[in-house]
This record gives sequence, structure tokens and C-alpha cells, in this order.
Amino acid sequence: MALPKHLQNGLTPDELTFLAEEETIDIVPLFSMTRVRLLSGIYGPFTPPSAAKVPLWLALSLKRKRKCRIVPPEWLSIDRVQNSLKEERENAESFCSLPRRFIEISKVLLDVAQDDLMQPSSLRSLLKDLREVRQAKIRIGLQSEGVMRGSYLQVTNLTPLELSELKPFLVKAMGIMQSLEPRKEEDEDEEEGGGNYAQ
Amino acid sequence: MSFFDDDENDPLSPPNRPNYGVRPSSSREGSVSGSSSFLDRLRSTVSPPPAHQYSENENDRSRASASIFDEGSTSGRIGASSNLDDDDDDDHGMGSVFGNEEEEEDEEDMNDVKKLGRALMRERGIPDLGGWKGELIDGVFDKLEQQQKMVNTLRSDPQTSEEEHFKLMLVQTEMERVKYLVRSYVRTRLHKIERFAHHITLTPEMHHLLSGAELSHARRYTDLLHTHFQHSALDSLPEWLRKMDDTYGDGLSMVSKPNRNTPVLIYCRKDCGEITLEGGERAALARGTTHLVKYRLVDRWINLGWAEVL
Repeated sequence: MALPKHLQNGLTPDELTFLAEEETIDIVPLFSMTRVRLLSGIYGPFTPPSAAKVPLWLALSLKRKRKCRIVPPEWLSIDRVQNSLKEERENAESFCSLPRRFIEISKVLLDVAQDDLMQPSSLRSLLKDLREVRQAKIRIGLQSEGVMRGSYLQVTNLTPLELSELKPFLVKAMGIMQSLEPRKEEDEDEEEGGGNYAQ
Repeated sequence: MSFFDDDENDPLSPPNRPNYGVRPSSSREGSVSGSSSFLDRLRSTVSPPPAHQYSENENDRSRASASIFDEGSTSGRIGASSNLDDDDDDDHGMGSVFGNEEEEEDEEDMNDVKKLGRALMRERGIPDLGGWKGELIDGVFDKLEQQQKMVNTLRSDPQTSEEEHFKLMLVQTEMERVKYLVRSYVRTRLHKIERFAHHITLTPEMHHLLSGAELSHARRYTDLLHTHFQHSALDSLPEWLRKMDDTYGDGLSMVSKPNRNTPVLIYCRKDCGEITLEGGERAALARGTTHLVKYRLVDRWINLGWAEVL
């Protein structure tokens, strides 16, 4: 009712993109304007040759009006993505650490600010490869035995977007596993765990 | 216009301009020239009707809920968790943890909009109802109101320059974004409140998690639903079938409760120690790691802000 069914499983990719647009990014303005005060902070002043830090949504909105050039984040370069891809391929056990919102941010930048990126088309395919390698790893990981046992899964270095794809399936699967398990000592199993705290 | 005077001339920095520098407290009275119908509407759904009483109530409430989480004693914890779950008995080790609580510097640095995003993510992620972020929402409302007033004033002013109009557009874009966040947050809570309305009314321990308006909504909603069921069906059933809060032989209750066994995704912002899983296995929640784990096992770290819900 208050929350439509498709939103109940967690955040959708659109919502995650919306949240990612609060991240800051550097732009080089093509117009001058004094500082502007927004709810999230004060941005500017905008003077053409020098860069300014603004939230991504602001950068995108200026970009659409051709009022700025976006400086792509450091990690969004052919070299860096290639490195990550290599690392990702070599390391079959775990995922390499990437910026949290890399999928969302790279997607919107590739869509809106293609001309500010170096070799956008090869960047796009590299990012796609990277994503696919990670997805393949996730699939393999889920097939391995005992993954679901104990209703626990370590998913370090997966980004929120990747997790939001997985979550509905995992939550459901874990629910079913739980209902299959014998119903004993359900309430005692965390007695010791809580007090055991290591700084 | 030189760069040096932009502080004074910047129309969008309200505190420096006497005509716009309206105190937040006076803006609460709603005497603004019909500026914020959205805010009025939202506020009337979110909070008790009288505007001046509202601020006090809200502050008291948020202070109350804050103290529950900040206090070194376990009484707050138990108050918050008894009846809801079964982890009372593992709280004895937590005293020291509460004692040396470090401030979450990250959380402090974040601007309100980011905090709001975080609150939304959390509310969406957990099966239970999170604490109402009264202070945050209040602050955001005040700022929204100020901005709206400024936009109105500047818009009707014929002397507003081209550049200012452009800024106004940016300001309005952001306001819409923030309103969307607030709406999403409130509706997510509303969804849970309606779903667990009966449970909430029956459990006083949960009441501090809700804002005044939310609580009265939960109560009214439960009443309404029950009256409806009674009129439409229950009255024609035999007496012993009329109850709305029965528990069946197998322990299944008619009152739906949040399922605290639902797995949640958490990202550990701090080292959260170890948890013991079902099978007696242990899992370390080290800083910077992400886990999918039962909500029941990690809710205290989520409440402390050490673990972030994804």
C-alpha cells in the first residue's frame, strides 16, 4: 500500500543511482557564477578555468545544459579499470575492492558525459567485462556447497547494486532453508556471541 | 560583481541577508505566505497538528530515543528489545562497549541529505522498524522551508538577475530531490507501521521508535481494521472465533510481527567482534567487510551505527 510491491525487496537500481548522485565529483565550469547555497552544502564559486566540487546530480544537470565539463573520477580510467579486471580475473576466491557506487556512477557518466571520458567505448566494454566477471564469480560462489548454511554469507567488496540484485533471491532461499531446519534451540544460539566482543 | 562581496550579495545565503534571515522558530508558525503546501501536508501527516507543540514534542521524542541508545546502562537496551526478541541475555557483555563509545566521525561530517539517504537505506534494509529520525527530519524541514521562502521572495522580485534565476533553479531541483528522500523514508515506515500496526499498539516498548503521528496512526489504523473486520464478518461468527489476537496451537499468532530472522546486508564501519551463527560457527565482523546475516544477530550494531545497512 504505502510501499508498492516492487520496492519492498530493498532498494531498486534507480534508487541506488539516485543515492549515488549525492556523491561529489569535480567539474570544470564553462560559465561563471558566485557561490550557491544548497541544502547539502555551499558549492562554488564557479570560475571557468578552475575546478569545483559539486554533487553528481548537479554536475549532470550542468552537463546536460553544456555548462560544464566533468572531470572523471580517478578510478574511471582505462588503466585502472583494466587493472581491476586483471585482478578480478586472477583472484578467483574473493572480489577486489572497488568504489562503492562504481556501477551507478560509471553508468550515468557514460550516458551523459561521454565526451569527457577517454575512449568511452572501450571503457564501457571494460566495465561490462568487469561486471560480468564479478557476476560469474557470484554465480559460482552460490553453487558451492554449504553457502546457505547458518543463514550467513560473507559478501565483502560486493557493491550495494550487486547485492540488491542478489538479495531477494538470497533472502527467499534462506527463508526456505530455515523452515526446513529442525526447530530446536532456536532461541539460545546467540547467547555467547553477543558478549564476545573484540576491539 | 567581484568575488569578495559574494557573501553579502549571494541571495542564497540566508543568514547574511536581514530580510531573509528569518529564525527557524518563527518559520514554524506557518505564517509564511502559502509557501510550502507540500511541507504542510507532509508535516501534518508526519507530526501532531499544532505547529508549536510539534517542535517540542519532536525534540523530546528524539532526545528520548537518543538517550536510549546513548546511555551506558543496559536498561535502555532491554527496554528496546524485550518482548521483541530473545537477545536480552547476551547484553551483559555490552556495558563496556557502550561505555567507550566513540563518536562516528563519518556520520557527523555528513550533510543532512546524505544522512537522509542513509536513513532511507537503513529503513529499507531492515525488517523491523528503525528509530524515527526526528531531529534530522526536523532540521531538513526547517531548511526546506527557508529555501522555499527565499525562492518565493526572489522569484517575485523583478530585480532578480539572470544568474540568480539559474541558482534558483538549482535550489529547486535540490529541494525536489530532498523531498523525494523524505517521502521515501516516511512511506517506507508507513508501510511497516501499517503492516505491524497491531503488534505496535500491543508493545509499549516499541513506542519510542515512532513519532507521535506515526503512533497515533498505528493506533487508529488498528482500530479501523478491527472495526471493519467486526462489521463485515466477525460479528456473524461464533463468539470463540471472533478474536483478532489469537495464537494457534502451533505457535502461529494472528498478530504479525517483524521477522527478526530475516537476513540483512550490513557493511561494518567498525570492528564489530564476532557473532555465533546457528550451527555454532563463528563469523568475524571485521571493519570494512560486508555480510548477509540475520537481523537478530546484528541489530545492536546497526543501532549503534557501527554497521551500515545496505
